[in-house]
Amino acid sequence: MRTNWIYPATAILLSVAVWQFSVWAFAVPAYLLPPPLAVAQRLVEDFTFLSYHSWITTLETLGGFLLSVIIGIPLGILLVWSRTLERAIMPLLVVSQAFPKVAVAPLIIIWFGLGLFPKILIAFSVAFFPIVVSTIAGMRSVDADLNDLARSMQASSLKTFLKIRLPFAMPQIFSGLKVAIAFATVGAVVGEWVGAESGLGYLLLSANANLDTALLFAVLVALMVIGLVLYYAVELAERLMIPWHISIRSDELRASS
Amino acid sequence: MTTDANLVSSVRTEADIQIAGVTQRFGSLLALDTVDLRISAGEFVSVLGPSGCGKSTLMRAVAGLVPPTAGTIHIGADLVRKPHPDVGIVFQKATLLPWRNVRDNITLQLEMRNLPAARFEKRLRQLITLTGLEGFESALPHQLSGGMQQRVALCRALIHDPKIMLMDEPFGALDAMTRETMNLELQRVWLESRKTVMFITHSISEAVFLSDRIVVMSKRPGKIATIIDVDLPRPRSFSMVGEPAFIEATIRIRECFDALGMTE
Ligand SMILES: Nc1ncnc2c1ncn2[C@@H]1O[C@H](COP(=O)(O)OP(=O)(O)OP(=O)(O)O)[C@@H](O)[C@H]1O
Ligand SMILES: [Mg+2]
Repeated sequence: MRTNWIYPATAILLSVAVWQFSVWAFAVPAYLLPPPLAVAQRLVEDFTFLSYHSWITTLETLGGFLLSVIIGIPLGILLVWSRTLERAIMPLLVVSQAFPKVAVAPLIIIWFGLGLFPKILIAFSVAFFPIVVSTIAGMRSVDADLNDLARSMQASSLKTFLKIRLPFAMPQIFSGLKVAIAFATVGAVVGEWVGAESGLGYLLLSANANLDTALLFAVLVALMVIGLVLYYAVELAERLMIPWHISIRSDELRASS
Repeated sequence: MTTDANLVSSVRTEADIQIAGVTQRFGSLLALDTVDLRISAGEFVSVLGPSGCGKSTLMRAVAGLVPPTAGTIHIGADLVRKPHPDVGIVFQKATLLPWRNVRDNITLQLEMRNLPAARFEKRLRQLITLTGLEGFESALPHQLSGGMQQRVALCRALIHDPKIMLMDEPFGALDAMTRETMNLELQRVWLESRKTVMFITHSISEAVFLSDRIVVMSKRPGKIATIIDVDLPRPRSFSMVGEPAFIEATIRIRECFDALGMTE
């Protein structure tokens, strides 16, 4: 994995070069497609300004994500623990996921105003479902023999949960977290589109209104950086918390390649 | 030899298994039909039978994991209703925790039972030596071969020094060579400690090699078809497969299988 960065880096550099060349060769007007150099210039000139709005969007994303973790993981555990609860709550969850949450965003803005909190709520509403689902899947993935083994050791259910079931669920929970962090960014930007005074989503809308395409692209780059940084932060947490799983995975990769 | 001392002490504590009239139903399926069996303290008994005849079900009942529909099971003087403290279990899969190294997988048994690790330190080292796991104490399960993983599972089942061992096809997933080695090792471990063992297997030669008695079960409903004594001196070796007693036991099991219409 680590040695493979050369390929994507080359691909990106190449496409940027093609982009720069075609803008120049076909004389594309800047309001349609600015050359990459113009975008880069904009990124440098407006660095503090872009950083401020990026920071707002990052806060909203992180807020929504953390809220999803705090609510989603215990909820998933609870639903595995009690069949009755699962029967009562799971259908509601599925229904809540079946319609586009973007549609509720205006309502949330009306209720909670233009600040950070409504965006955190919207980010939460899209991010928490994958966490619940992956927690449930993870808790269920515990081998039946292992459950029997734990019972034969006369362990309390709390001990079995802490020492066996939860660690076993961690790899799956983390794959849910990786999806959730990406979803949370989308939620935050959508929230900002609907009504905001700051943040990258807000900036996108105003750049769009002014046909300031270079700024638009600069915002996209900022969003990409945020997405990457957050994703790798989750992966770093995974490495620190379940190193055993990473080593098994890389051993398997090595064996199959 | 300490072996004799251990033998005497375990006989005195009477950790036998008494299975009386055990019936197990799963809905309309009759998995076990009035099974009666007594395994004496310090005895090694194998259970042979076709797939689905209820071997695992019987073992899970003895382990106190699934209460039987009817009948009783006693370990010593205790009626089994829930898992008994004096039992160690080994399954076909090693069921090790992938994030714990060899040593910590073995001591999981102690942690779960709230037993002080320090008191079992010496025993832990003995078991590791006995099963040839020295030098692998801090290896993670995925770095071990299947045979090694099963050795760890064996140590984990033995660390709290239970009087009873329940083993459900523990070597079923291993290749033939490793399996023979493991059989030899299990015999050595057993000779040192003389646990009461209920050993489930599909392999006739494995059963004959290891057992004092072999219980043959028939399918649907699961019943004891016959019980065969194996009169071979111990320690046994695989060169004994040619001896009359070994051949006789094997033939009797095969005849029983044929009579039951099983082709194993
Ligand atoms: N929890 C359960 N619920 C329903 N049926 C079960 C359950 N456990 C076992 N059975 C059924 O009981 C029968 C006996 O199963 P068991 O696992 O004891 O067989 P076995 O002799 O161990 O087979 P194998 O050699 O394949 O391991 C099978 O028909 C099985 O499908
Ligand atoms: Mg079985």
